[in-house]
Amino acid sequence: MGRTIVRLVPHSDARADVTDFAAAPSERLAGAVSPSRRSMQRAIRTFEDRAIQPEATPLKRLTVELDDSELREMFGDVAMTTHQSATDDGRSLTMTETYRVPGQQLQVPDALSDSVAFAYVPRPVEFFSPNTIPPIEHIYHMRLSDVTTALNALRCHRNDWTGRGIKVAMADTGFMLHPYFIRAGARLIPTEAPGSGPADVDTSGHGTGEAANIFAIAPDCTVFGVKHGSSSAATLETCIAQKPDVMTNSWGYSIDSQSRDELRDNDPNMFFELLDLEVVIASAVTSGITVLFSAGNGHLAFPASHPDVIAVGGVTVNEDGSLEASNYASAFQSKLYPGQNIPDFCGIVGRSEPRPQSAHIMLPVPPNSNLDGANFPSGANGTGWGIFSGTSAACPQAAGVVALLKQIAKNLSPAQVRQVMAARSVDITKGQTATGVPASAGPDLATGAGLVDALRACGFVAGVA
Amino acid sequence: MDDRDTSQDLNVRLVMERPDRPTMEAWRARLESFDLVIDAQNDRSIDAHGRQQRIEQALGVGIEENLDDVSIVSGPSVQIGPPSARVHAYIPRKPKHF
Repeated sequence: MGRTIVRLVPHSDARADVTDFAAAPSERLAGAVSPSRRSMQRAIRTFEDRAIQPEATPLKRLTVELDDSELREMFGDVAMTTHQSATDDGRSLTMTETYRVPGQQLQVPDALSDSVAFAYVPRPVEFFSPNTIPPIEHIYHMRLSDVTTALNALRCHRNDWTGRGIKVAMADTGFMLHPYFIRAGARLIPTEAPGSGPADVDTSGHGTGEAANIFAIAPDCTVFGVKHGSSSAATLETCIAQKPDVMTNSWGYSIDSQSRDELRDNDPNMFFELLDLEVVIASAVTSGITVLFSAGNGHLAFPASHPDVIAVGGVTVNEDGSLEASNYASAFQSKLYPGQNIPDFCGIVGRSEPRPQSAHIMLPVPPNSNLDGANFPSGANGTGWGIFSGTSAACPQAAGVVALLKQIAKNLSPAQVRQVMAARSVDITKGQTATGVPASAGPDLATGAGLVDALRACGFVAGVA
Repeated sequence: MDDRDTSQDLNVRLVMERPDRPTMEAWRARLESFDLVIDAQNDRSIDAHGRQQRIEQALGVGIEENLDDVSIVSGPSVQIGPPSARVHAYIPRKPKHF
């Protein structure tokens, strides 16, 4: 017996006529298709009366999975037609998928007509020929497997420390289910935040690419990819609502060049956004979620400087394998939070100059997104890959290590996570940061405790190191 | 909505120092009465969007642009609920992705 996923869009308060939609400008659509909580809850009750549990999205749409008899009971005799999608341009692997959709419009049943505007069976996404395997580009760079090795996570995986059972939430530009993730069996769940639009649409490529850094370290964790919405605070609230163990954030605001009093005087609007974000971050950390932020690429970044979050900076792997502080990554003393040094420790980040090390990691991106083909000497694009690596890459790498630690010891507090990872990092003694801070022996401002070492941190927590 | 209103679309977020559901519900009703669309709401915050002019009318304050051409607001000047139920409004800024 087949099962069919049906997506339902509850009525808006305005009760717009859906037959007008085709001709409506997008700004009107956005206002009209704004399901009300009351309609959503009424629709949920209708399903629950039939012992069916729908899933509600943050934007109050509903998804239900129905077997054939439930589909018939709810929507009458629906004639389903079978289709097959395939892509093969001779360059990428052929992907074929069979799917069934109704041959005609899905009629909303009487029982739901008061609460649901329209319903449909979502069609599987067709991938437009992104390659599962990255292309060869003649520039020095690392592949994701090199990141796994550089952070010493390979032997963690052999010890079965893979992040299994751990949930990571990542707020970014969107998260496409790239064939690389599917081939790797990665559990990436694109998740909408208020005002974000579809979470699996990523026109930038940043979120999709940087998420791959998590799986390089913690291949079995579950990642909720939360697309950035109308405000950063509401986006973080959506992350917290997923009840994650870890939150990783490769974004921020370059505002930590002034004290709080100066910020309040100079930019009161930003000051209140800072206060709001502080409250949201505090609610995450006090509930036991470990929160990480990128230190910035020469930026003086908040929330990285917030004392409750772990700030992740950058270390470059040179062509001869030596390590040095990345001259693309930030390191600074906070003025918003006096006494606070950024970063706590580092992941892998490229260099700003000299080339060819500037772009460092080959990452999967949606084809024709902004970062598709980024830094390819060949100029090729449309491959679904790009080379880029600011501290946006370092932060999810460190979050992957946190996922490994939490698998071993679920109750580690955010403070304990920070302490263990810092104590077991590899000291970096060469190079200087984008902000001109030189690395030296021992913990320093340039790289904090140094480069994160997954095996040493996990071994310590597991009591075997 | 006034068809002559050609002001830009903006997001706005209202936050309270302490969660207070009745005050947030009252603010929701006020924002909706000015044709603003509510994107999210909880006991301490509301995310909404709509025309700048309507946001200004709902909050009782003007929205300006700073030197970086970023929209900013201070207020609201409208008081809803008891004086202790203080609400702040800001125009969320787009973050930099690193």
